[in-house]
Amino acid sequence: MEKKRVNKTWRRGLLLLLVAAFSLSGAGVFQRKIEENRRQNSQRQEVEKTFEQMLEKQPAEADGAGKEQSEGEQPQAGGQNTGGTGQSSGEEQQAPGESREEFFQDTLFIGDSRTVGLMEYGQIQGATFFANSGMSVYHIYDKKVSVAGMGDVSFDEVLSSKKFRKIFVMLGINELGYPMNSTVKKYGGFIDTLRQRQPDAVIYIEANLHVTQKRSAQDAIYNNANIDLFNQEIAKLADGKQIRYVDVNPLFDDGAGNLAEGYTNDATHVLGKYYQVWADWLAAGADGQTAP
Amino acid sequence: MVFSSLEFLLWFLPFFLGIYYLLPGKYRNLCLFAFSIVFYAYGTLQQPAYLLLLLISAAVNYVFGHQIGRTQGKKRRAMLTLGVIYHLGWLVFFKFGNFPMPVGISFYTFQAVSYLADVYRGAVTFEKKPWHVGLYLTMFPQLISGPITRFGQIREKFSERVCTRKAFLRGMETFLMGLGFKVLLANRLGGLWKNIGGIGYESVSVPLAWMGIVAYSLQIYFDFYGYSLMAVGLGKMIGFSLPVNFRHPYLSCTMTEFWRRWHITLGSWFRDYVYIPLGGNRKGRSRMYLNMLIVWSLTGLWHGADWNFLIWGLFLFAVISVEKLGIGRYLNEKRWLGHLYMFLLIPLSWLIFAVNDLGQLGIYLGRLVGIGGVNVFAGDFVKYLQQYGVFLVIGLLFATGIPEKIFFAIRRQGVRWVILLAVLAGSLYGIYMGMNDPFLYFQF
Repeated sequence: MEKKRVNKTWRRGLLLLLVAAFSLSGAGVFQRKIEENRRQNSQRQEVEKTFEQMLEKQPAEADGAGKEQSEGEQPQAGGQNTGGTGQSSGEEQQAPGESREEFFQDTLFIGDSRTVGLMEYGQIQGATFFANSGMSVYHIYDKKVSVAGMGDVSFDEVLSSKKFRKIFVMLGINELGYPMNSTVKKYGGFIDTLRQRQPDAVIYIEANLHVTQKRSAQDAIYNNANIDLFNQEIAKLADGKQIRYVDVNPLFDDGAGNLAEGYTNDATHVLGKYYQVWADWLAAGADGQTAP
Repeated sequence: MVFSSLEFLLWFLPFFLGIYYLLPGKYRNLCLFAFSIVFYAYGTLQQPAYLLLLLISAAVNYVFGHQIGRTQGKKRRAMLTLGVIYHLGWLVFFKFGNFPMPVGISFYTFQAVSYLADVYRGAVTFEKKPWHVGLYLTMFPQLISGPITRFGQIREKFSERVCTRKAFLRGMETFLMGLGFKVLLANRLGGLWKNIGGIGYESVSVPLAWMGIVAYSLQIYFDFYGYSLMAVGLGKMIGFSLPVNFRHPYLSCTMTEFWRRWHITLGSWFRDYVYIPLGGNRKGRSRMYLNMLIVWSLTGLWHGADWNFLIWGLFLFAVISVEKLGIGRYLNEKRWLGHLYMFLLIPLSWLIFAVNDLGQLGIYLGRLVGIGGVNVFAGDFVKYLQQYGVFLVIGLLFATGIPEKIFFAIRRQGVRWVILLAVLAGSLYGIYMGMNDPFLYFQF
């Protein structure tokens, strides 16, 4: 009898303990969820307000803007329009004496999934691409990447393979989670290595692509404020001659420094068909670019 | 709250099971109810009124059920009509309105309506205990995504239920299996459809377009099937036998058969509360087709208030009607032909379901036959095959149901539990990783 009573007491005690623990932890769990909701909410309201204002100013929608025609409409979208991009309106304009094909001959592209997009959808023949999703300055020497015509090679092997005339670099987004100073330092060191290994090549530091305003508002790390800050830092590495800074964002921006909704389905990458526009713009306007 | 989340698996469920089983039997319903409220509240923190809406729906059911049960004549009909209009009114309001939908409303509304209808036609006697009516709508295993349970199937369990240790373990096995299907298979396969969306349908190659809709078909199946298994498993762990929702639908030979094996509780709801009351097939051929048309249009709209969902429903109606005209029997006899036929139709029907914008749908359909490609990357199929091929194969294999049969045939409990614990560990890891990456494994 006694034992049963003791058991019952233990049971009740444990029950009370569990209920108390559940309630206390529950308060914490709910609190966290409420704050998360609140944060997203206030950001979303800001986004929606400016989004509506922008809808009037937004350039042509995705439909029909797949090819050269779209370039004519873009210059209105961007805030900054450095000298080079102005040329991209209307049809393709080649740099003097050099065709699009020639432009990409002996060119090396280094980058993350956006550069992969350029490789797959940009209709670029003859260039070498060292790119994969997740590429970062911290690990670029460690990983082997599949390069057309070479198989799985390290970055070192690519640099040793031939003399490049132009090298395009687009890196930085994957590293936004790390302290920016060290990333910029790493990036600088990387550019130095490129200069040493390929002294005759012109290096183009590409600004990282913006994300949409919706994503930017909801993401503590991958937002346009951080992207712009990083872009500004790496722009300082350019000297205007052997190292140049090119910014493709005006091509796809919404007029407020974000990737326009019409150009993307995932808030982060442009649709496949726009990579050709990007490549055309590089061939036409990037040559002769100087840092803004 | 979602079953496949860390807060459910590591916080809510352990506490619930602990407290539930420490409580003496007579308090367990209250415990279930209280936890279900917490469960629902967590998901509707931004719209706390929705919790109230749910509770009021339960109250309406209790009151109206009581009225229908206790009165005679015209008043019964009026009560039924009022009650049904109340429930469906909210559903229509939220489906077609601009407000965020209350979680689970499509499901609990149908359960609520079925209760009133069943009391009216005498299939069940009205329930005198209000908390039983409340639990029927709110109990967390089936609150969010069904299975849509009839009151008669579950009412005695409210009064008394036993859960043997064997049943408890079996329930947990079912739950873990469902979790694995959702996190390890469905969520992974979902990445391909997202990638294709990111590329833009016009730039997708023909083989990739086909691979995409096959992957989507597998994703949606394992997502929903997994969730239903989790619901059934949870129910079993506390003594309930929730109805089966899926019977390996991808083994069907006709679309007609498919909808008797896919989301079974929805199909039978429409059959019992719309099709048969309209006359079913008892009022002549043409009336039968009209009834079917109504049922399928409503089925489409139940899934979503967009044009593509209506078109999807009508598409299903068309296919099933054609099958009724004779093809169905033929396909059932030549089963290999039936399987081939369904291998084509299932992904196509899900494509219509998946793409809201009709223009985009047209583009995708074009890509399936090679029309309208813009800057297609020829190597995309190989690239994504390398990434998703394994999951596609596993998905197709599991869709046959054979691995599950093998699993449950394993006699040694130890072996089964090693497998399930690996599934649990993998799922927890998958959920955790998914949390860190806002786009679920989507790297830059």
